[in-house]
Amino acid sequence: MEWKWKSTVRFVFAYLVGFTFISVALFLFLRFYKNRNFSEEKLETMISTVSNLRDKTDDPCRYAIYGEPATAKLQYIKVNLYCGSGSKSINTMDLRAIKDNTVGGALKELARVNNFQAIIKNRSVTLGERKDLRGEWLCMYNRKIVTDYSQSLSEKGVIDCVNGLEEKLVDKFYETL
Amino acid sequence: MKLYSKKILILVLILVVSAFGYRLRMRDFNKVPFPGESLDEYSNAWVGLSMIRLGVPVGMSGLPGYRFYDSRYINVDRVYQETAKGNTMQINYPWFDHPPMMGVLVGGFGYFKGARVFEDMTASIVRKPIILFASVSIFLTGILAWQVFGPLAGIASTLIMATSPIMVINSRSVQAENGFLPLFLLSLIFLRVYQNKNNRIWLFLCAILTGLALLFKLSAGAILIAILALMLTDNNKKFSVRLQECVVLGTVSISFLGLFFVMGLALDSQTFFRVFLSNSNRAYGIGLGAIADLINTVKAIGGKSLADGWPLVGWMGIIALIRGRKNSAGKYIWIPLLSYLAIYLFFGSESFAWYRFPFMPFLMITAGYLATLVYRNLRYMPISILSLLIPLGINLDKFREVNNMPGLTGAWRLSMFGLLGISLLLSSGRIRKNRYARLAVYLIMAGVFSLTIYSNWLRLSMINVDYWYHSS
Repeated sequence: MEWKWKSTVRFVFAYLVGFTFISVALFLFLRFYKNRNFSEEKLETMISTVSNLRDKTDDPCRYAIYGEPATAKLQYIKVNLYCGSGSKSINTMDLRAIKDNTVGGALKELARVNNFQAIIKNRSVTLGERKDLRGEWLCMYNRKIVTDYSQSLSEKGVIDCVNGLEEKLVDKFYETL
Repeated sequence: MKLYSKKILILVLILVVSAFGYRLRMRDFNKVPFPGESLDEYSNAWVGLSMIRLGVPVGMSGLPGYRFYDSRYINVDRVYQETAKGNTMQINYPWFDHPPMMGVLVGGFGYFKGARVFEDMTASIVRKPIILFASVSIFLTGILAWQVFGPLAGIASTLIMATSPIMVINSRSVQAENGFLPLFLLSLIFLRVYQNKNNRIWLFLCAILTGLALLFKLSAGAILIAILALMLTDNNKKFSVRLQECVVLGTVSISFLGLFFVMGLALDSQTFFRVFLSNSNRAYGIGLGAIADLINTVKAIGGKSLADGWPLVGWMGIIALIRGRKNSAGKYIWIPLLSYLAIYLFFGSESFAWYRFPFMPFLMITAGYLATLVYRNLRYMPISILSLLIPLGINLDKFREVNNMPGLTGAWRLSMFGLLGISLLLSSGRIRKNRYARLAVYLIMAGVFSLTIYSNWLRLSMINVDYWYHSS
């Protein structure tokens, strides 16, 4: 078949008309599909749900967030867990990623990331389910004992949670740290 | 042998080698490169999954212009215990950094496999479709090389593409470049078929594939540039005909890009145009030494490099191809390569490994062409032997670093002396005409080629988690 400008121009015109119809249909479909399916809650679920493919651990000191979040600049906190027998988990967390900006919120987020259980009540916290852990944990924020887990976080703060530590031994703990 | 059965045999050979390439890529595919070394792999997959589940692409971006911006820990593949270096992931939506085709394919595959949340999109899931794409690319590389340089170069190029260490490692990565590569190769194959048969259906298929490639990444515009250049330089047709072909191809393929704009307008037009503008204002991160860097270094995912001689051989061969006869078939290799080089140098945002992927099939074809040049004329033996000794030497050297191989140095020195001596002897026309000398050289060269491919395999057998951890 020979190429003639007249038929080429006719083809291009017909194609563009057809394409316009397809574009309009796609536009309407995408709008409709978004309106029907999108919600902030669903997005949050997709982002924050821990996958079944990832192993859950009973040991809060088994994993740590490795590395320092350089992109956080000064907006970071340290969360250190001491599980006894020398096992510990040292973590630096980006404050921007802790949506509940409290001591309890940070511990919950760490538990979600490293996938262990964290139960936080008004004045007490239980981290992990490892059998040799003692039930009670004592947490300090910037070296002061946490009595309220809804206490707000600030830049460069440090949370230390120690398994089985008694309040009277806090100073000694920091001396030996 | 009848021509038909010979063609079938070559096709089967290329297919078998591609299947072998697939096997090589599947070994430890979810471990090397380390999951999370390039977080873009996850971002691409999340874009697709979120489009399917939410109707809005959600992904990671470093670009300004987004209204929704969030820092999150998404511990997929336990990257926070390994490769993420503690940095949170910057989530944006609607994500318009690039067209969404790569995401839709990978995300769709993940959804089909049962993934519903971002953490489900592990390397074990998201890399599988990419390896399939890469295997198709191996096959198409062989077909294109066969079309352009004949069956021997076709098989050699397929073998190189299938076993080259850098190709095996990089083609596991979920990057848009790996997505549009098969389309790049297939559109060139269709163009050549069109130019030989003059049946317009092939032109339309070529246009559709070029358009689809644009939906993977805008840098696939190199395909359009290459196809237009190849059509315009086809001196067998009148200029008016060539121009009409370009108008038809350009209209059809660019219209596909229009679909990306339609998506942007439908989901969030303001963000779309802001991101589009900020994409065009990216820093020129590859630097002015980009061409030297391209030739000198062989980059892998995660900012690492992996010594591999094949790309270097390819670059050397490209120079030879460019100075080939006017309108020679070699232009189907060097014009696409230079088209992508133009795009690479123009956009030039960062010197990431994946920006180099689209060069690779053309470099591998050129390397295959050089390696088999001796079978066209014996006087090309020095070219073929040098093109094989570069990758062979690198592979053996790296293999020797971790394996004790006594006697290798002696054997290498002697064989090099012998091979280069034979090359010199072949400068005599009388020796070249001798039937036995010819047969001996063909056998020797087949042996050296086989040994080089085997050395690729040896090298690949070294690349495990431990090796990757210690490489830089």
